[in-house]
Amino acid sequence: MNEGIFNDFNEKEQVFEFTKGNQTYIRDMGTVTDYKAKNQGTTTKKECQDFEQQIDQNELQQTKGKLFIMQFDSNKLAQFLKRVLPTVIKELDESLNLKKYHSYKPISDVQRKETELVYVLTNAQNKPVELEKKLEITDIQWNSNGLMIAASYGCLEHMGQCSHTSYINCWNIFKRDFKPDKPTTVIETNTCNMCMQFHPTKPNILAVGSFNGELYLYDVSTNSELAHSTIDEYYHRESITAVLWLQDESIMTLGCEGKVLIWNPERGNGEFSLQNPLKGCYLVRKKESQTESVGGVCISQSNEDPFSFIVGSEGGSVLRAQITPINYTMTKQAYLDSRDKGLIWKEETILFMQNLNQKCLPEIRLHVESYCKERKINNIFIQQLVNSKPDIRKMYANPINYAYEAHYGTVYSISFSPFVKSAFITASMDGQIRLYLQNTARCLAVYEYIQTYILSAQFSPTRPCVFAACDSLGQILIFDLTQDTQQQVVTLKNDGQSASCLRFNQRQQDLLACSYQGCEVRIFQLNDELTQPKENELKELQQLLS
Amino acid sequence: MSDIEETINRIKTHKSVQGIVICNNDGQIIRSTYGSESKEGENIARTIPTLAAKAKSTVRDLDPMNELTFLRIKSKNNEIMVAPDKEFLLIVVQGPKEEKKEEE
Repeated sequence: MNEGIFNDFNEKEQVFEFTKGNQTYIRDMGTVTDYKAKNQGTTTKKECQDFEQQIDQNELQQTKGKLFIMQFDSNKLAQFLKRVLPTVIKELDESLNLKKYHSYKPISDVQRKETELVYVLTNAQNKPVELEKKLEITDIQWNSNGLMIAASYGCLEHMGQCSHTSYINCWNIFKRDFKPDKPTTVIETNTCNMCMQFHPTKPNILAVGSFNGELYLYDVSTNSELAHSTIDEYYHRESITAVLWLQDESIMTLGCEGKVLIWNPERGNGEFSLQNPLKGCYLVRKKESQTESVGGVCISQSNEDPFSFIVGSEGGSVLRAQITPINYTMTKQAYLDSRDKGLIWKEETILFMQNLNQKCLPEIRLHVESYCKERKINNIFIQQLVNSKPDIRKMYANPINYAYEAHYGTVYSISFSPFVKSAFITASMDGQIRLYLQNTARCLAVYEYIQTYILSAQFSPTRPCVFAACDSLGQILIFDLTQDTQQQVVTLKNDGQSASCLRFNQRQQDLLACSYQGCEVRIFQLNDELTQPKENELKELQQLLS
Repeated sequence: MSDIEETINRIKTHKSVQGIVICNNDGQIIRSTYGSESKEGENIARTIPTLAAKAKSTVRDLDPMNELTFLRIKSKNNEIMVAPDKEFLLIVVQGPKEEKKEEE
């Protein structure tokens, strides 16, 4: 071994320690010959990547000339390798054979072992009002950045129209002066709120569906109402049961009477309006040769096909509806030109018309035009169209095209898996949680809990095999299909108050919120076991589903 | 030379082997199956010998008559096996087959 060269090498490295380029140059040089030698030995097995490197090295060698050679006793190395080879091969084999060992997961030092209740959110100041008006939490939602949780309040015992004063409370649980018993924002509303959803990107915009059938849009940062819709035979007349923001930032609402409406609230420049929906559908089913409207309770958009929606009904049906988004291109402008009859179809009306049931368009057109002529109205706004009262079944198409195996009671929630795009779970009054695939009518798995209602179920945003559900006994059931395919692995018990709504935080992914009877929202921090994805977990789920 | 190459090849062709680094106890690479552009081999050669030396002395501290023979580090993504010696270190990185494929 030539020590002189080594000293030289070390010295140079020190000199160039902070000039990156030069240092790497020397280091590269150090391995040049090694590569060459190695490649010589294994030419046949070399891949072209290595071949390229070889050329590069050769070029370097030619251009830069000087070389430092890492010297070693090759005999000693050969002896060493010969000596350790059996051990290494044995160890390699062993670790391949030990499957159990592979799935072993140590508890790392940052791990959270226990699922903990971190906050109990209430509104202490409003407690007497809540009790007096028998308000309960009807829905909870995290906002888009996962920092704020909102709870909508409503009375669950209504006689006819709702005239209650109700609330939407928002807690920013990451704010420094956050107090669990004092919401960051309290929005007072004139009706009971049934459901809501935050804007998918704007964390302060909240769409809320009311018991009377109005859709409200709030800005929670300024505590102001941005827009609200009206009640009409052609809009929602009964309670709105679900609100969804679609990809094009339009809002889809599902009503108890069976209508699905799509609204576009944006008017540009921060202006919002919910004067009228731009598209409508009417969920209808044939039962014993009679058509009946379907009382929609929950709706979820498919991850696979954005035009596919799964609707859960009051009666227990699980249905697939095909709903295309609003068509904004004015294709029917020429068709709806009735200026020769002295009638002007307004642009907004044309837009509305072209999103209606196309089959019945001529009929509706005639109906509206004759109505307007009778009353000597020249300009046809949407209001006139609505006032003329065309047949609603003809106006709004029936989007249902598939029915899944039905539940025996109201379907309260539907949640799609974020990983296997066609899988979804349903929660129902019959005490069942069911797992379906979008293209199979029969459900794949049923988890049954006798004498309870399953009020909400949702897939975990981080682990493909994990989902959670909550029931009327107040329990939160967390399933982990990698551990147990038959029943839950974790039960978060509660003394008596029923748990109505459960939401994973999509951003702070270890947080799970659940609302309880008595106007309480609890925030749980899940343990790492339930939040850290496991190796091959997705594959395992796919196998289970196939 | 061919003896060395043969041994390296035998380990390399073993199922689920991601890479091999042979270095001296100072962390200077003698052989590496990692490309010279990727820092991976260099990082291994820089860090593992220190750890191996520490393990060696720990074993000896616990029992002066004992000696470290093999070091196996199991991690989430792969497994690092170290065969220590007076002069050389053989470091074999073993990982699941699927991951290897994905990388390729």
